[in-house]
Amino acid sequence: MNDLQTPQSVEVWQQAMVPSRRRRKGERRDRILSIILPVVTLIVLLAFWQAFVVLAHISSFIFPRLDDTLAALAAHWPDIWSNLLVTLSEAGLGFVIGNAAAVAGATIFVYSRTFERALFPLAVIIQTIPIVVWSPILVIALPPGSLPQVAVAVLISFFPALVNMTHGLRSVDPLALELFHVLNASRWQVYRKLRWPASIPALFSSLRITSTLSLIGAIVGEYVAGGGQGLGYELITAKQSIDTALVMAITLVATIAGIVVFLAVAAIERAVLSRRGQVT
Amino acid sequence: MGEIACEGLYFSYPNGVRALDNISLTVPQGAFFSLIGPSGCGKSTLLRLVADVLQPEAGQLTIAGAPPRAARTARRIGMVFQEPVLLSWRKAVRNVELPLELGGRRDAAGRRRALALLERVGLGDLAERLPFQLSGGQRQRVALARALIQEPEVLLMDEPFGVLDQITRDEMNAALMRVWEATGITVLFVTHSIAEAVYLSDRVAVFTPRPGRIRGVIDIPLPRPRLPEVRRDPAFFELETQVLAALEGRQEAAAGRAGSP
Repeated sequence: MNDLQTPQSVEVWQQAMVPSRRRRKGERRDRILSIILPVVTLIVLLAFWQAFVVLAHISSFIFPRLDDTLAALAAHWPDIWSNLLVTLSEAGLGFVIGNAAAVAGATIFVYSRTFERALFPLAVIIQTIPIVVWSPILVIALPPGSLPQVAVAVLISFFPALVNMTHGLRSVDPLALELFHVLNASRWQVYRKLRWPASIPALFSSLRITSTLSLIGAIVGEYVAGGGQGLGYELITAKQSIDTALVMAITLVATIAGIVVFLAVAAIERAVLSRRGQVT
Repeated sequence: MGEIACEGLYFSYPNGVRALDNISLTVPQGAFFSLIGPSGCGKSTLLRLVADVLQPEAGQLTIAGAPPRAARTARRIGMVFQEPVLLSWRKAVRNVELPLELGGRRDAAGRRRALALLERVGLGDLAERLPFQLSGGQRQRVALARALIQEPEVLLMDEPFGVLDQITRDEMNAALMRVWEATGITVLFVTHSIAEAVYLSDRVAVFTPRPGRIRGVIDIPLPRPRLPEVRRDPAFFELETQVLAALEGRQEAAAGRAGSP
């Protein structure tokens, strides 16, 4: 074989194009910066919060200081923790069901324009009605417990996941479809071996988006239900007893939970897609 | 058994553009047959008719005496496109195995065949790489191995080396000759390059565009096996000139047609 095609020479060429040590150093600095900068922003924001409330002499029950918030967090931690677990399990169930329904819906759409024309407007309607309007209806209609909250989480996740997955399953190289046709692949094989694997990046962007949305859905559902367990419920009781520091503490916990869930999905996405050579 | 025959073939696209106008040609069993012509002259359309991707408007088209559908459903057609069209999530060897897998015949023997084919196209040590870890030429070699693994009767190649640089392209041509000359597969090869067509083919059909017609078929009686040195042969130059003349004849004809009402 000609020298130009051997793998070693390709690597040599790539190294010649970009000095590798400098490139690696640059990459590492980039990664460190992308961690440090958001942390710095966060610290500045928290400091600003504390300073503003103190300097403006705002009463702590109108807008609690950072230290009051942290004190409330410590005092109510066992409660907050068990409520967080309830919320996370509702959100998790809603996340799974919402995405599974979206994958099923997208699959039907890809194979039937008729179904898509008939059902997509319905999905748009579900999306355009605000979640605070849905929630009371679901809370009234469904038996109390975790079901209404899960349903809200499903509804809020479904549409973005549906749009993403429909696009993902459809955006297959037309030549690959032609290849599968020439190779006499069955419809199921086209789905299983071409459309589905090609849509994995779209699936992960659905999962990433809906990971936080389902959490919001579960909290809103609890908040509206006004009974039972969960962060949303604890939030409403704290609000009713004008315990603003606790409200702030719960908000903080919900925010951090959202960030952690999002980053976890993003980390899995990176790992899976780079192993599959599908990083865009 | 792998003879491709068409007789009075017509094809128009839904927008009314006639891509093929009364095409008749015969590709003998085991021959390497090239279609050459400018862009948009219907060469790729003809290939897609043979592949049973498109259906002719009128006329007869057979592979080994049967309609293309029979060859396709029997998985007797191999196809290589201008792009490699590899599945980016599959390693090279798994891409090569794809046709076997779609035929429900994925086994240890298939794996050995895939590895042997990768060896033959010069990628023996890259079988475990993902497509993005390969160069453009290497990817196209994987695509060639994939087209050959099911031992097709006919191999359809649609400008397979069109996007490669000249040096890689010459290498690919030499590799294709080495691999193909041992098989006896009937090849229908679409190209823009005169040198490529002459180097590879037993026969070259020259197409004229809008509507696609065959201006002439030129025999390439160069000896086989074709080694790269044949490019420096005066006979090679002579044949290139013949193909070029046929292509240029098209322009005069087009000018003549434009002048008449």
